[in-house]
Amino acid sequence: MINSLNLLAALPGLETAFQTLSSPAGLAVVIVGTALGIFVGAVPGLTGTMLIALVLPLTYGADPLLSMAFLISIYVGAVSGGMITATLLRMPGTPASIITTLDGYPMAQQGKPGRALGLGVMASLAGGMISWVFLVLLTSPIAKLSSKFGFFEYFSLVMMALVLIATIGGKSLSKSLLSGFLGIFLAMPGINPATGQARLTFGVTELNDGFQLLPVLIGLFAVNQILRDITNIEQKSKPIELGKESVFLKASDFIKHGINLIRSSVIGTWIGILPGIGANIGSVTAYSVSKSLSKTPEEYGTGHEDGVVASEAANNATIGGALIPLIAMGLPGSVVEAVLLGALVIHGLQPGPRLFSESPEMVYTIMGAMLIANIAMAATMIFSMRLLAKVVHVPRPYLLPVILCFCVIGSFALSNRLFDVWVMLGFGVLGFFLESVKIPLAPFIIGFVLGPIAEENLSLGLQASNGSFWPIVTQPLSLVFILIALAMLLVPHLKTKFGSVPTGSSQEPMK
Amino acid sequence: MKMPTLLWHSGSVIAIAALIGWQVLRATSQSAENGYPERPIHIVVPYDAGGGSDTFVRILQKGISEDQLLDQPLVIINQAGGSGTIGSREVKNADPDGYKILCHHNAIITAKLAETVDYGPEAFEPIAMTGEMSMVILVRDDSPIRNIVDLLQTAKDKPSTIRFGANKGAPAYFTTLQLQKALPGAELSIVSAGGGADRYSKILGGHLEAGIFSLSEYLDFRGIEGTPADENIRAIALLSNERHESIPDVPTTVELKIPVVLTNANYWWAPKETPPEIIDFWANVLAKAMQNETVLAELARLRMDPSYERDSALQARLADTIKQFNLVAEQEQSWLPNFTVYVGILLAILMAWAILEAILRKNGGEQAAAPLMSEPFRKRPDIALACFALLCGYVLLLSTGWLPFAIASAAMVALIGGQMMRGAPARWLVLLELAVLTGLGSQFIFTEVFVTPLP
Repeated sequence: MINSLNLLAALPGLETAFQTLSSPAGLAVVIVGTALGIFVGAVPGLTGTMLIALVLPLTYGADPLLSMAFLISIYVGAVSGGMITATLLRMPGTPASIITTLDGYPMAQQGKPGRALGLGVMASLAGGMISWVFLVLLTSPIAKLSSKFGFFEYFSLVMMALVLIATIGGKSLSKSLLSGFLGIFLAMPGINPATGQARLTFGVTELNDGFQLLPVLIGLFAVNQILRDITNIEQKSKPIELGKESVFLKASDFIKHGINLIRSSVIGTWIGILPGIGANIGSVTAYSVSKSLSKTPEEYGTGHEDGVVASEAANNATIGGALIPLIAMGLPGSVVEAVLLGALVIHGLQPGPRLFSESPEMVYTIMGAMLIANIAMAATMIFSMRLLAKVVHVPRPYLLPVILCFCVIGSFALSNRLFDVWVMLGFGVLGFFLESVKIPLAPFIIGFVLGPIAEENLSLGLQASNGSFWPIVTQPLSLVFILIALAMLLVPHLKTKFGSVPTGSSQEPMK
Repeated sequence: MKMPTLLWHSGSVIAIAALIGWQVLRATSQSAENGYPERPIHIVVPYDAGGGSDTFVRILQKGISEDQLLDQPLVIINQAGGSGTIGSREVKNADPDGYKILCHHNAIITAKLAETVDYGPEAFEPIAMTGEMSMVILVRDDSPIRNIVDLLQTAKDKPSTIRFGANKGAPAYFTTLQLQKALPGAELSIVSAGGGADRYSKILGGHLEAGIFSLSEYLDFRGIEGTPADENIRAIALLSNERHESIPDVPTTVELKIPVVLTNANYWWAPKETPPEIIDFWANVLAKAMQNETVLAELARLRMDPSYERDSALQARLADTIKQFNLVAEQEQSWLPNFTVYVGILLAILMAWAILEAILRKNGGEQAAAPLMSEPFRKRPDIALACFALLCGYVLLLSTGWLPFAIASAAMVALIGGQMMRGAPARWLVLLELAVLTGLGSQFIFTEVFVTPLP
């Protein structure tokens, strides 16, 4: 008791934050926010960013602390909710859950949807909690770290994740590479970030902003999958039953996946800290690291539990990571964080290095809301799992047209133009075609997301170095990433070449 | 099975009745009004929610609704992208009826100079200028550079050693070019680093030596008293004629005989040929909003000067700004590697490789792996094609606006669902109810709960 009083006295603002969040209104706000977040995260087409931007004006009149708690809860819920549709329908609800489809959907097809969702929830919770610990304990030292990353360091880091193009997805290397480069190429139209001029727009002025991630993603995955489901409509769907024991995990599961959980969460947190990279890349990197350290990399993509764990732990961990520079320095990592930053300004606060000293109660509320939202997320998901898994049983003629309607609304709402809806339809056809000729889509979307980041940072780095490429290998951090990238590219091939001779890395999964 | 079905039917019928009731209520309450504005007005912000422009417009929106300056709600539409040109084009092509208005700063001028688009301010009717933000040049606190003359002198003595963050194609970039011109021989390495937050972290990390920021960004990012010099930033110059009260120690460029100024002013634009009464109406609303106390307090907090100009003063300011930027508007040839071409070539090679591999495999007679499915079934690409055609028809219909969103969506859901029933029969009545619910329900949520436009 005395200790806790001392703590409250030592940390001004903590008491206010605690009172706000523990009040019935505070708890209700967090729980409702999380549930709404899970819903928009799960529906293809609707995203957390969209909901947060739409809700923001509604919070004007409300208490600033409660408003931020609400927005943070939506954020946490949305990143987690994506896995539901990713696993059950192979339609990732948000970009963050693309990687979850790789193993989650095959698991569901093999009759283990409950197991897949259970693992996903556990991994999300663990990822959220681990990154929360980083957020609370290490905010100011870590935030400084993010500014150590220059253009070349970003470039090399992204290359590390981009290597995954070659190792993810199908069996054919040529098709994976083709898909990845097609993704990189189709991300190029629009304003060149390095020169500010439009390119590859062919006079179509709507293309000045290129193809946006959201309509491309919905097209490639949701529209394509819907067309595929319609084609296969006469197939008798296998009854997928959700056994009681499968949802809750045993202690042995935590031991089995412990190392992967911690590693993926740390990777996710770390990627989240770097502004401009975001949740989807956190899960890509964690998945790829997990795969290259695995003794059974060939099982990834066929319904491997480790794949789901790595992806879901990492994408939730990016939230805690992303909040670190947001709170400590006022640096937003993605559009969601930019909107959160805008919310702080509109509620009369000054984001930036002074936030901690001037409005500590807000900082503690954000941290507390993230903690409670994570717990609320896991509880909501576990208790509604049975209901969620029933989605698979809803007759397709009911389910698919409604999802299509949401896809159209979501693409349109992105920037209020029908052009994005046409982009979605176009990429739906492209996705259908590519999968029909057995070209995997995962490398495409990785190339599409990472290509522009790599290009921008390389171009800016060259502008800063007056055209010299040398900093890529002379900057120590950059060199480390390049070496890791090479190792991830080569180790799996060496492994298969030398048969069963285990290499160093596979024996030490701790590394 | 009986009970849930009954529940669904009664539930959906009640919900549909309620939604139809709401539609009727809305229709009757609207028909009473007359004169401009008789429906919600859309304000296009050509940047993402949460950014500086967005925050500014939302503050004014607050003031306008507080003082009830408009009978109709203002709907803020974020159309980001293409250096602000996606949103500006939307308004340029809108009907000149005063229901779609743009709030955009100097980038509307520079987008034309950077050849992103082929139109500039002349394609709009300017309404007013509201709120100006001073701009500063920042360095890291431990930098030896003390003022703007130091900076340019260093850039002259050791050309291309100062990495200077300014977004290419944006106003700050043109100002940087002007600075370089002010001291002949000075050469900065201009790095097109994105937003203010990004430039800030790059300056702290020592990846950039200096950069242009808004005053508000500087005051936000500045560390508290006692922050170590290598973790803080310092303003070396204010790009203005007069010093600013919030940073009285920072000299201006003009003081030091570098005649380069830049402020970021917010302008309001209507489509060309909008009737002068509407322009006047809006200029008045904005003038009153700029005197609202909440607005003034919020702008002071953002360190934005609450200036206001219209008519001839506005025209003169625009002409002057255009002239300034035009002085340095020569297209710089980019010497960066042309990544588009490299990726294109690689893509062509990979495509050839994949096709070759496919042909070889076919000739080799290699069998594809047997599908996992045990039960054979008939594929129905015909239904998929029909559904896709219906979907395209739906989007086309939305783009013409002949049918209200709710009706078109309900029809789409019913027709596509109906098509699919040929392969997998389900209940017609349930589908119809679901279709109507989807159409009306989504319209209710998006227009009543969140005030946002639908197709």
